[in-house]
Formats: sequence, C-alpha cells, structure tokens
Amino acid sequence: MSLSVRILNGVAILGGLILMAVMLLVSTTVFFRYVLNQPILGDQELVEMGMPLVVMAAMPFAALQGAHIRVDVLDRAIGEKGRFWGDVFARSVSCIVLALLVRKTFAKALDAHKYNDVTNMIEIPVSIAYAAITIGMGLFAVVLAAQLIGQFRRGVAGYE
Amino acid sequence: MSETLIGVIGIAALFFCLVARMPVGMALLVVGVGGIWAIDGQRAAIASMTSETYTSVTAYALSIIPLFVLMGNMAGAAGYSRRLYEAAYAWIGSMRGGLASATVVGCAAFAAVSGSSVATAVTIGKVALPQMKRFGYADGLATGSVAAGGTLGILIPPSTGFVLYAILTEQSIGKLFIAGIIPGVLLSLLFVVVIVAITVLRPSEGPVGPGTTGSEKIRATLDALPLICVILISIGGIYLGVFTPVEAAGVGATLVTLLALGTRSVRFADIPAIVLETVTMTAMLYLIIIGAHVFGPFLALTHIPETLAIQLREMGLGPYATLFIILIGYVILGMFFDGLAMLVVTMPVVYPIVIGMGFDPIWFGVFCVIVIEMGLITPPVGINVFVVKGVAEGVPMSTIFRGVFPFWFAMAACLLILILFPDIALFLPETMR
Repeated sequence: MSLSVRILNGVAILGGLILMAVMLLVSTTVFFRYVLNQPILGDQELVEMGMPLVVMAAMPFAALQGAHIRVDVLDRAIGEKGRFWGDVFARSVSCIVLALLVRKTFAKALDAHKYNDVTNMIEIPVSIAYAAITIGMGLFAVVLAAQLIGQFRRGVAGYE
Repeated sequence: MSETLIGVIGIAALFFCLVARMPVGMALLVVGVGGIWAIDGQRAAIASMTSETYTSVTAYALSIIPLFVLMGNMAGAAGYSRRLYEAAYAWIGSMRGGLASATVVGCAAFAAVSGSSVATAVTIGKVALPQMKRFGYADGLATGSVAAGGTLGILIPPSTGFVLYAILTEQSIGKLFIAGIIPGVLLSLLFVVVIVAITVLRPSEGPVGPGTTGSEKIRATLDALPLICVILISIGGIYLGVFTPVEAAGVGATLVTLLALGTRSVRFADIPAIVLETVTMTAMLYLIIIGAHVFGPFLALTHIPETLAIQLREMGLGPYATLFIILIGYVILGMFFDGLAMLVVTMPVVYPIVIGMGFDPIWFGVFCVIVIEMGLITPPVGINVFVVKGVAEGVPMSTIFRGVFPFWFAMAACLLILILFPDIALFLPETMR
C-alpha cells in the first residue's frame, strides 16, 4: 500500500471513529432525556457539525476504491477506447466542477472564520464544516487527477 | 434557448455522463450545475452547488444513513446473520424447501438491522448457500432464494431506499420505515409460497432437511433473541414515538456494538475495518444525495416535471394507467440502472405526476422500493444476482437468473396487492404516535 493510499485509508478510519462518537452521543442524549430527565444542550448541533467530518473523511477514499455507484452496463459495448476516453471525460469534468466547489467553500470557510459564524446553541464555528468540505472534495479532485494521470501512463491497450 | 430545451439537453447530457462511466452522484452534480449555469448564470450555479453540499452534509436527519449502515455492518461482522438464519432454520428448516424458506426468513430478519439489499444477500448467502449445497438443493432455488431474499433489505426498515425517497420528496423517514413493515412481511410470505410451490412441483430441488428438537428450537431462538430485541427497540421505538429515526439508528447501532464487543463476537481490532466499510458506503450515498440536491432544482427551473404532468393529465389516461406506464418505465430502467440511482434520477419528474394523480406519497414510496427490488434481480444488471454469484462461485449466472425468475413474479404479485389494497402500506403509519 503506497503512503498516499495509507493516509487516505487512515483519514477514512478517523471519519469512522468520529461516526462512532456521534453514535454514542445520540444514545447518550436518549439516555439523559429518558433516565435523567435532562436533555444535552446542543446535541443536534454536535451531530450536524460531526457529519461533514465523517462524510468528507471518506469521500476521497471512496473515489480511490472506485466505490461510487456507476452505470456500467455499457462498459463492454463501448470497448476499451470508449472506456478510456469515457473515464478521461468523466474525471476531467469532475475535477473542474470539484475545483469550482472547493474554491467557493474555501472562501466560505474564510468568511465564516472572519465573521465568527457559529451555531445557535453551543456556538460551534461553522467554518469547520466548510473546511471539511474544502479538504474532502479537494482530495477527491486530487484522487481523480491522479487516476487520470495513471490511466494515460498505462495507455488504452487492455484498459478496463 | 428555452428553459425546457435546456432541460432536455441536460437530461441527454446526464445519460451521456452515465454512459461515460461518471459516478451517478457526480453526473447529477455536473449536469445540475451546468444546467443552472445555463439558465441563471455562473454565480447562481456555484452558489447553489455550495449551499446544497453544505446543507446535505450538515443535515441532522441524514445522519440516520451512516448510523444504520454501521448497525448492519457491525451485526454482519459479529455473525448475527448466522444466528438469525439458524433460528429461522430451527422452526421451518424441516419443511419441504425449508432451508430456502429459512433463508428468506433470515434475510427478512437481517433486513431489520441492515438497510442494504446487497449486504443482506451477502451476509445471509455466506451462511445459507453452503448449507443448501450440503443438503442437495438445486442451485437455482438456492441462489434464487438468497438473491430475492436479499432484496428485502431495502423494504423492511431501516432502508436506504426509504431514506433517499424521503429526502427527495420531503416525506417523513419514520412513516416510510413503518410503512415498509407489512409489505415486507407480505413479500417474505410470497417468497416462501414460491419456494413451497417449486418444491411441491419438483421435490428434488428442495429436499426436506433434518428435523430439530424442541430444545434446539428454543436454544436457536435464544441465541437470536438479543438481536431481535435490538430490532424491536429501534423500529418499535420509532413506531411508538419514543425515538426519532436518527435516535433509533444511534441507539440500535450502540446496542449492537456493545453486544458484539461484550460477547467478543467482534474484537476492538476489527473496528477499523467495520467503520471503513461504513464510511465508504456513507460517502457513496452522500455523493448521490448532494448531486440529487443540485439536479432537482435544475429540473424544477426547466419546468419539465410540471409540463409532463400537465400533458399526462390532458391525455386522459387516468391514474392507474399512468401508474402502469411509470411501472413499465421503472422495470425497463431497473434492467440497466442501479436502483437508488434510478430513484434519484427519476423522482423529480415522476413524483409530481404521481402525487398530482392523487396517490399517497408514503404509499408511492413503498411502491417505488418494491420496483427497485425487482430491478435488483432483473437481468442483465441485477446487482443482487452478481453479489450471489460472488458467494456461489461455481454456479453459472444463467442458473441464478433462472432461479430468481419465480421470485420476480412474487414481487409483481406484491405490487398488485399493494395497488388493490393500499392500506397494507398505510395502515401502520396512520396509527403511529
């Protein structure tokens, strides 16, 4: 396993551990509400700000694994050239759109930080969510770009 | 260029992107952004993409997806699928075709902790297929019962299909989950009827398995009881209004995790692999959700859904003929599309039409999920068939497709019953607290 793959793998596992923390938080909230008759202040905001970390930690890893759902029914019919240039098109266009998204969310993260934009109850900085999207989608674009370079190195012959 | 023409070009572009092997979520995102850009300009397009991405990943209601996926993966890793299968086998395994029926019942029970058809087919298939092979079951019946039984994963709550439908149509996730229970049980029964019919007609396909004693039945049931309790707590909690669906997912996942770790069915060292599988599936589903949230507004801007709805109404076909046309369209699309992708791509157009015809949105959610289930076992794609092929390596694809064929008709019968008696889906949600 190369270093970059190991890093993405580790980041995704970290996202999974954050998910387990979210799971425990939700259960604790229920326990506190019914058993101790005391709701946890801002529990929903913690889940809302935790989820971008979970999702974006796994987004580049899922791309690396080719886990995102594709319609592959015509893969055989379009042949190796079709598959090759189809992937070139799909990865190039995806990179462009992701770059536009990342540029905007980066600006939003900076704005949110600058104007101290926080959640209502327990004042978690919303820049965390924008930063997570920026990094997750940015790495997603990097993975696609690396796959694009890799496919040109391998060439069309025998391309799956 | 008119907005409708831009919409038509957008739909064509979407199909081109899908043929070019772009992930479905990304294709929806790309075409959605491009379409809004063409209609309202670059600023609106990028702003829409940014805000929809932020809204999707920070939505509290959507945290139900990874939590239920985690619960299913944890239960699968802990081997609870085996316990559920063995409990089902203890009670009905000695019937003719009993192993195949136990497979369906095991799938239905595991579906109550797993929201994924593929996961259900894999986990139960790994346990049930070797058993059926050992007792001389025909390959077609064995693999067909696993592939078809696995589809119950998205009908019996929790279900990723219902969550996506709820998000796309702004319906209650809790009500959809509860609406799936009776149709799920009905479909399971229809599958068992199919197995009994096959084994009555061709007894050699599903020989009678060895009987179990009363104490074996009780022991197998007690082994499966902890997981059955978790199912009752989490789904029952939603029905009784004790939990929100997110809380039910959180509590269910926590209980299964504690159970698995407490009984050493799962070791701490296994956790990274389990969470990795969970978050990978989560990322895959969220990309589709983000894409759908950008593609939906684009289609709305083009007025295509309302134009189509008006034209269908003017054709005077009536609600059931329209529903039948939609059903045929879905069956054809299901032959080539992933079920969830099909739901996301078509719902912005189909939903306003169907609701405009007077059908109940919760009922239509159940209808859609059963149609998706049919797609999961319909050739040439039929993802569950491919999954079962991965478990039953020596069995040819053609045998598996022949094996699932009778179950496909059971699904069609279930749809017909659902159309004739819509209360099957609507009764329980109406009694929810």
